[in-house]
Amino acid sequence: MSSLKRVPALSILLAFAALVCLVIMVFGDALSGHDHREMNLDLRLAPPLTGGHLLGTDELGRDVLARLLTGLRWSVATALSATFIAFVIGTTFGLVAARGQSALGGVMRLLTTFTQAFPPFVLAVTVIAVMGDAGFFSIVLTLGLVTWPVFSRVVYAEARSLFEREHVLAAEMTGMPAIRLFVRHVLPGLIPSLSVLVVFHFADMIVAESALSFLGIGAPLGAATWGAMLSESRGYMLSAPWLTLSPALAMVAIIVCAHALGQHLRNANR
Amino acid sequence: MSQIASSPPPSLGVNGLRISAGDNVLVPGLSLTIGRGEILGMVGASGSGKTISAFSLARLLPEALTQTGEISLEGERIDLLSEAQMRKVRGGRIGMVFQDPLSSFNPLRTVGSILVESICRHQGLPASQARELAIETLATMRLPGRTASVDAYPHMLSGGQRQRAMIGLALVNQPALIIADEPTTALDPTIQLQILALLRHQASSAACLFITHDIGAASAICDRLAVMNEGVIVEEGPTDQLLSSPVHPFTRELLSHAPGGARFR
Repeated sequence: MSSLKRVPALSILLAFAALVCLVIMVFGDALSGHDHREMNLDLRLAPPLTGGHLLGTDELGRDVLARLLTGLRWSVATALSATFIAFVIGTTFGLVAARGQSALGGVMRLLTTFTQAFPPFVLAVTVIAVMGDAGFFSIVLTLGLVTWPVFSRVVYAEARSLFEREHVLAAEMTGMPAIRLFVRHVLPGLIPSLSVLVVFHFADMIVAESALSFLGIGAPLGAATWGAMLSESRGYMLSAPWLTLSPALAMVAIIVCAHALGQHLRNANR
Repeated sequence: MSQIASSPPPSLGVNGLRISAGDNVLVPGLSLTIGRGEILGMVGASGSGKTISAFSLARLLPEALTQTGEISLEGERIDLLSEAQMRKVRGGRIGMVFQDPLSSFNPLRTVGSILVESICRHQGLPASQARELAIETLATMRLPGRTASVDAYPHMLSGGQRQRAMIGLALVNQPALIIADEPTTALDPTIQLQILALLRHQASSAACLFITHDIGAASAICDRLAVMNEGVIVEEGPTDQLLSSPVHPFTRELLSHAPGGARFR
């Protein structure tokens, strides 16, 4: 097929970015030649490109690049898992609510409204406080539980209109049971908007997780995450700006990539 | 009521069908019968309640609407069936042809796969045999190429071909009742004639409710006509009689607006 020639440059670029991301996820701080926990008090706050530290060291002499690479692993893993949880809950609720004249649908619509009416950060802090200690599962669960209405809203609206499509009605007219109707005729119609939403949500989750870590209620104490790195660098913003800039720019890069991918998917679906 | 004494026992009997949206009554009380092999044309302006009446026969109204009243299919009260039993009726004993054949096929699935699924569900045939039957059905509907049409996606067929495939889908399980909701409205006039002829020919062993606002199309294939206005059948009778000597003022008005009158006859 000649379709390979028509793959836009942006697709290749994004695929490359994803590959880089994957390599970093797999190898982590090994790529920097340093352990992200290794302290060197003789070489504190070293600027970039000194003593074999590409991005310099922090206030405890830890290699910034090693921490940055480890942080990516954490960020992507939490964002992906949180997105998955939000996706599963939100899509299920949205579909049931869209279908149901039943009381269940009404309850789900109400739950969506209530969850969305709460300020997300207040809710997240509350949920984390209730769950006790900070860690991967509590943060992922929290983010998922707080943000699923994004999905349920979109799925609800789209599924409502899909259910009124004639081909769904025609399929129902052939005696198709409700579950099968979902899977065969409604879900495929949701894929375009859901794929875009997933990517944008992933970017949002990276920011949200970093914000929680910045506040000290996300990652466990001492973990190398971008939010924690930003938080720790506050005192050195002027004397050692690379401590702030490294995680900030890394975050910008991954979010720009995610948004470009989302935009790209949206255009491709038009 | 119709005075055809020789008509066979009704395939479809509707008695006191009432459809309402909350306090708003859309169809106050519809009663009609259609015999085996008979085509009843339900004509009326847009919004007169034709389509919701048709959907209520398969109990597929939008959730905001409620229906009451007797509906019997070959003597069996289907308005009393559970939803699970009703699913066996839909597609099995009631077939439906929709207005727009493009939007009534899922664009992501082949025409054949939709037929095969319906056959498997209602006739319990294995997939390979169901496929054979699907091929046969589409050939009967005069779709080109034996396997080409089965494996075609809806966009690969022309409008007329899609509508013929839709009729095939409606008929494939040999239903007792065929509901055709404006089946020719989205098609151009020459194709309309073909579709009407096909429907007339294929529906010979079933009762057929033909819904249209095009009185010309209705007169071309219907044995009887029922004129509907604001949810009420204002006049009903054999097609020739109703066309030649309409009694109700609304029927006269409808006829006076029909382009070319009964041009299909």
